[in-house]
Amino acid sequence: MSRVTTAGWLVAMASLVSTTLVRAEPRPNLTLAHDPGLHHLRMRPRAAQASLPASAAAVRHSVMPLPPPHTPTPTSRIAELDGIRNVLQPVSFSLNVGYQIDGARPSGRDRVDGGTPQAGSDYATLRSYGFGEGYASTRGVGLASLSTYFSARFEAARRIRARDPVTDQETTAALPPPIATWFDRSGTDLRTGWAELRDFLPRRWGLQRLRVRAGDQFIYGAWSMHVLGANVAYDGDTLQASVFSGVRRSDYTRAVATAQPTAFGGTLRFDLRGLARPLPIAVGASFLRLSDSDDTGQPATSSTLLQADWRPRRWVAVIAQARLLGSNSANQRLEVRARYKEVSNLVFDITHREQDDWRWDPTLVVLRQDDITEARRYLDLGPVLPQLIASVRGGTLIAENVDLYARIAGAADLRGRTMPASSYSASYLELAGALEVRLRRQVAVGLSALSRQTSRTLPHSVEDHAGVADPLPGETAIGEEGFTEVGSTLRMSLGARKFSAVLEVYGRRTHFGATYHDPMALIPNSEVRGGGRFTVDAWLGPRVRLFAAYDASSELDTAPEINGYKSLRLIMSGVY
Amino acid sequence: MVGPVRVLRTLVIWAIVLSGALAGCRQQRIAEMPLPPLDPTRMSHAVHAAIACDSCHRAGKRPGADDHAPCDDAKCHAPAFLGAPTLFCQVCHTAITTAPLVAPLKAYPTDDLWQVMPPRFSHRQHLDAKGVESRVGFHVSCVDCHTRDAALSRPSHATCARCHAAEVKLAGAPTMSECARCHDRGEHPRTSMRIIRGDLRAFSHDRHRTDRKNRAIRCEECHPQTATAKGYLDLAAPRVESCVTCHDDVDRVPPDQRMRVCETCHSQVTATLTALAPRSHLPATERPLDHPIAFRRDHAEVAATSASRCATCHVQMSGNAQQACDECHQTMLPSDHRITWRELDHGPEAGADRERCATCHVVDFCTACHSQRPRSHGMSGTFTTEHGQLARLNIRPCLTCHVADYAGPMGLPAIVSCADCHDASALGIRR
Repeated sequence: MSRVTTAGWLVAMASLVSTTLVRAEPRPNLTLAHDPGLHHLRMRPRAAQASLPASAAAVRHSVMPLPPPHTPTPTSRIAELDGIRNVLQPVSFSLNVGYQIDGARPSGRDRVDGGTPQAGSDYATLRSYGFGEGYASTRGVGLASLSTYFSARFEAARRIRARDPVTDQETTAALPPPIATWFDRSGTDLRTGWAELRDFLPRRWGLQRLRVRAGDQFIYGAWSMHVLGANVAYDGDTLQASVFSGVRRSDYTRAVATAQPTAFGGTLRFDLRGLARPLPIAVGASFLRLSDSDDTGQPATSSTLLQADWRPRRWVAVIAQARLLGSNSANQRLEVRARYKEVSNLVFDITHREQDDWRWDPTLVVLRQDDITEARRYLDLGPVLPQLIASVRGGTLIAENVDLYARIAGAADLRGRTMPASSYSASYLELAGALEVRLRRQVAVGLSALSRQTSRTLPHSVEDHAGVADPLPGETAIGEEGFTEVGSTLRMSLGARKFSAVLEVYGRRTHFGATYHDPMALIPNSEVRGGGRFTVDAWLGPRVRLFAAYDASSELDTAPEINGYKSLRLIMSGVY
Repeated sequence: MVGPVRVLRTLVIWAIVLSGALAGCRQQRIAEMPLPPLDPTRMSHAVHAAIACDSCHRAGKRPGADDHAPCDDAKCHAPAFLGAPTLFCQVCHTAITTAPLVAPLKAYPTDDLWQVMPPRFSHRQHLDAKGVESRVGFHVSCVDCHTRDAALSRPSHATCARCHAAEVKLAGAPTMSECARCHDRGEHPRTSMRIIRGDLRAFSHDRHRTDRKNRAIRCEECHPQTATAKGYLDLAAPRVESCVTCHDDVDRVPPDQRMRVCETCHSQVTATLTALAPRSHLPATERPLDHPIAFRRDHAEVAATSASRCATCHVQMSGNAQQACDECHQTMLPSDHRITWRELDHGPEAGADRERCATCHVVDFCTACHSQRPRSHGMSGTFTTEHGQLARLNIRPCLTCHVADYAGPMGLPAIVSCADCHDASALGIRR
């Protein structure tokens, strides 16, 4: 762990300890701050009722026969009926342990460009690794106001080394795995780990609404930011405010440097629904500042998110957002959500990106012109160009059995004539739909379709000459012109917490633009492939779960040298 | 290629499957029944608003309990009772025949779906242990009020009088004579009733007091919202999900009364093996009713308001109400992240909607994979010269990592500039 990370932990823990030392009023606060159990509604034997005042008892009332002796339902049974666990219990944890094998076996055929890859020296045909995930949370353990949450992941993977084809000795070069993975070595990551204090201050001035969370956490404001630090928040009916500071944390990987920029920010929100005369509007602003970083080569940035949330009806929401990068307008978004009787949803959203928007997120805002490795280091999706992205999606459940979903989405390229082109900002139209029908109590079938057609400008195709390094096509011409995917599922469920199995098959046809033409041979401009997945989810009692998934693809037109991808994933989970 | 015959055959198969499924759905029996109109012949409280309540509701008796009193008062409707029967009689009688004199009474409007002069009753206030127990001397539970004639029922005025009689002198509480402190003017539906169309067997509260093993069934198991209801608008009829909780539990219900036995609740005999239960009738451990396909994408609002509910099934979650999205978003894969996702599918998606990717993935995650040598490139070095066929089909994946027009010094590790061999600048390729 780097020095910065260690310092961040110390700051986080120090802030947590300091808040616990705040002296509360000596008068005990008996306010129930957590969700109470509804114990007061239990049927009570009438014999236990206290005697009524004589005058009241004189009023005639009927006599209820005594119910049978009350035998409490076993707690474990209640927990099962309520789901899988009671989240109000002081300690909860779960642990997953799994094993996965990925494979891409050679087919014996040549690659598209000729030459047969040598399994073991060109790539690894199999890759297996173990992994695990652990989650633990506490409520009121140690301190009544304290809750904690920890989430960690580990992998046990061996770095695959290439072998020298001549000497058959292992080299120091890493051998490409059959399917790309974001990790190639063993280790443990603390994904999240925080402690939170709430309801620890006196009620005076509403201070009991203050909460402090310190540790490795996600903070939601101008962006979902993973930081190691502290967040102080006030959750009032009308006013919600928070301020946070910490060191940004990197996710998923131990491959990049751990030196990260420092994050500072806050949120201020006024919810006018909390007023004595409520108005269905909430307005707020979030601010996020990231320091510059020599490691990432990114300058200091300030992002501001302004939001208004109007709810004219209980299940209708109109949300408008505007994001600023520095003082420049970067992104605007409007979303309208409607819900009817729990099962019908309709959402419309439209986003307008401007040239000053983030390239990816607030940690990546500029392109370093002097870095040849830029594209690989930060997955360059091209310059940020004005773009309008909109979608309408809706779904409903007909007769409680037919589940329908439809989506229409599109993007419009709004760049001016003087702006550079980018194939990532092309206009497109997308249609999608899904349907699931239960044929029997335990059996359901589903059908899904997705099609996206992208606008590619193809001024002229490049003539391909054998043995010559031909020119590259124009930026607006490259990339997929579109694809259509159709899938189907067959689901059997004897109870989601008992046994379920899902078989899924799908096919996909991708169409490419004719960027090159060869006078001597036909260049294919499409690719058809498919795949399937079979999963089994079985519970051995309420606490132990077994999960297995087999995932396979068909042979690939672009990779005839392998028989497609295969993967087997086995997981055992324990829940408490 | 997929031929048209195969496509047609697939469509026909799907049409058959779907029509079969839809045919099965016709057994639906749940519906929100529209309320019947308010009976126009009923006595109008609005018309009588100027008269004091106790002028008609005398000594706790219902109007009409003493023959035609008090309506036949000389100052009121006495002439109507002395003349020939008119529509006025239909306020209380279903019909009037004079020879012989037969005048059957209408049922007293206690069980109408419309309730006139509805009470402003707060279950929340009356179940507040601290507030009530300290004042009346005992802890109020459901059956203290909901008992009439030895059966569970709606409370009557006699029930209220046990605490609200003037003799009790309950400070601050309305007395039985202060009608307006409890009753609103007008009328409203008694509850938002959910009625099962047609063939529902009569529900017996007494049969639901204990389960199969003689353990008490708590009221809140079926009426969870009642304890917090401030008024009648907050009351809701029990949801069928609460029925399922017991009726799919072999410990609580005998096998012949399980949910899959439709006749347990429905009088219409159905072929149990072919009956298709609505999703709300499935066990509580199944996917909830409000989790249709659309929920997968648009669940943020529900999750933000009921994180503890999410956490009962999504065991990786803490149940904390604030700032908990990552507890799922860092661990659960979207359904389209299949085996080809990492190698083939994710690139076009990132190009089309990068914000969707950025919901979970930071740039470091992309870097972690993209800094590895792809399988397709092999290790023997032949890919440096043998990549033209693949590139001319779709050059987009190449340019994800490789710089198109970089004209810097050669020999930099791993990164290859396409412009070293290809003419890129002429066609305006960006880097």
